[in-house]
Amino acid sequence: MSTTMEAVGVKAQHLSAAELEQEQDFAGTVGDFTSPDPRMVCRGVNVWYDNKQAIRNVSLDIGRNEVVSMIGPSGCGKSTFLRCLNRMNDTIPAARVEGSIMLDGQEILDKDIDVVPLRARVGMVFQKPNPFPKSIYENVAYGPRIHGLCNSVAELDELVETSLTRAGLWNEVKDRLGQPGIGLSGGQQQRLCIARTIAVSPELILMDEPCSALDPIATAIIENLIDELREQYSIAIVTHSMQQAARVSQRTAYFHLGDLIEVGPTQQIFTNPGHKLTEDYITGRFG
Amino acid sequence: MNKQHTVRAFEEALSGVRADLLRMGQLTGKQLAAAAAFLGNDSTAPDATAIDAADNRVDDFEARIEHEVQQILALRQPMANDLRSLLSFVRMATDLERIADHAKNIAKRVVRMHANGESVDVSGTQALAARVQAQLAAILEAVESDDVAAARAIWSRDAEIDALFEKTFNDQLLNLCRVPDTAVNCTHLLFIDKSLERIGDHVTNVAEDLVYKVTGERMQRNQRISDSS
Ligand SMILES: Nc1ncnc2c1ncn2[C@@H]1O[C@H](COP(=O)(O)OP(=O)(O)OP(=O)(O)O)[C@@H](O)[C@H]1O
Ligand SMILES: [Mg+2]
Repeated sequence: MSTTMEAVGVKAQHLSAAELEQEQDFAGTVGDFTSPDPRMVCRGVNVWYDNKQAIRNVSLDIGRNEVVSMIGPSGCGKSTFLRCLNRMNDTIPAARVEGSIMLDGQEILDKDIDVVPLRARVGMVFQKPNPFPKSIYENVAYGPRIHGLCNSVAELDELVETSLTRAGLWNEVKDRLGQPGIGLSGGQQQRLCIARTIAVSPELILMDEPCSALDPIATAIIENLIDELREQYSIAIVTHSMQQAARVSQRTAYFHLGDLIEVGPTQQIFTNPGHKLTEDYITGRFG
Repeated sequence: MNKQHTVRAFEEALSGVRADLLRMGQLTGKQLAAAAAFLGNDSTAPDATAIDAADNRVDDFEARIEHEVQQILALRQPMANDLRSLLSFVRMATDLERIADHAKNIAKRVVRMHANGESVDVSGTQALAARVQAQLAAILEAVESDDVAAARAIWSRDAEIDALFEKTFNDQLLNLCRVPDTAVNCTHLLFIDKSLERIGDHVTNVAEDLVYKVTGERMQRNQRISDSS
């Protein structure tokens, strides 16, 4: 791939001495990045922002009914990688993605793919709850309506109710469905966004620091929800809280300066990681 | 060798536990050495209060280490090597406390042997004591330097202590039958042998914990421990 070779040359000029040294030391991801029952299969994914490479040759599977957490220092590329999984990087003009990402056997990096249905199949929940400036009901009904998932108002009502119930929000909002979504508390808004995401029956849910703006109770509710959602969906979650990664995920991936350093069963990563960089990060030996 | 924690108080708390464990180890070693020395020398026979006081200091260390570890677990959520270290330190402290307990019992028996006055051949027990002391000193040194290779070697050497124990025990048992006049002190010796053999087992436990602390690998639990009781 000539473009890759060129880019590697360019990249070298952009890396600091420390980054170059780290890259030379890096001999590939430690641990098994595959899943026995994969839903999404990423191979050799590279991402550049203009000439600066943000993700380097990352391969990782996300299994069925599995929560994979992605951890690593700020700027290591977690969000960048997560955004590849539903083509959200398309919205960033400087971003360029290479490699292969298969969702249930279909290449999603294919230029011809329609990203609107893709983003329904691969839903995303962001760090800051971002309800539409509409009613609670409309926030959830909007997706199913544009994707034509319901044939009648009754069907749509039912879908709104089940989605809000599964997101653990129904009892708190059932008497004020017509009120604006942005009138809810932060934790409720985040659960509304999760309800909105699951209303369109995704296969995979991406979450980028979904609890960083929430208090411990709202966080516990979301974490419990993640555990329940796992029965039906696959989830990839970026989090700065190692305790959260430890609590919610079955597998953990550690990123460092654009490399996927290590991936493995969560309990193993947090008790006996295989790579020194992982160990230093999770034990709090930074810099 | 390892990078330091970014949070200095965390680093200090961890080194605090480590330092306490090493001090506890030294104290335990001294207790055992003193008990062994009394065996062949009735002029320095210790008094029971001194033996108890020394043992209490070891007990205090165990309680303190447990408390420190509990604090760190609650306040700092340690991970990986840190987590394994803390779990290992608590277990090691338990074994050291048991060793000190055996040393105390040995010392008390020696006091009674001297008071009793029957003259018996203590050379076999002394040889066993010397081996056990060497094992304890070696494992404490290995803990101080995180030396896994040494821990494995020490672990393997316990078989030799077991063999020496069997031989010494049988010889003294025969002796007890042959010379009934010294039956009381001979019986004390048999109990001392057994205590020494048990100390050897606790040393292997510490060796296993050290391997786990450094590598995350759990060694096969020593079969002999359950067999020999
Ligand atoms: N839109 C963008 N344009 C240019 N560079 C970007 C852009 N977004 C991210 N980057 C760069 O790519 C690298 C990875 O950023 P990314 O946001 O993926 O990191 P992250 O691991 O999610 O960090 P954080 O934990 O702070 O959210 C960083 O060096 C960042 O500066
Ligand atoms: Mg990010």
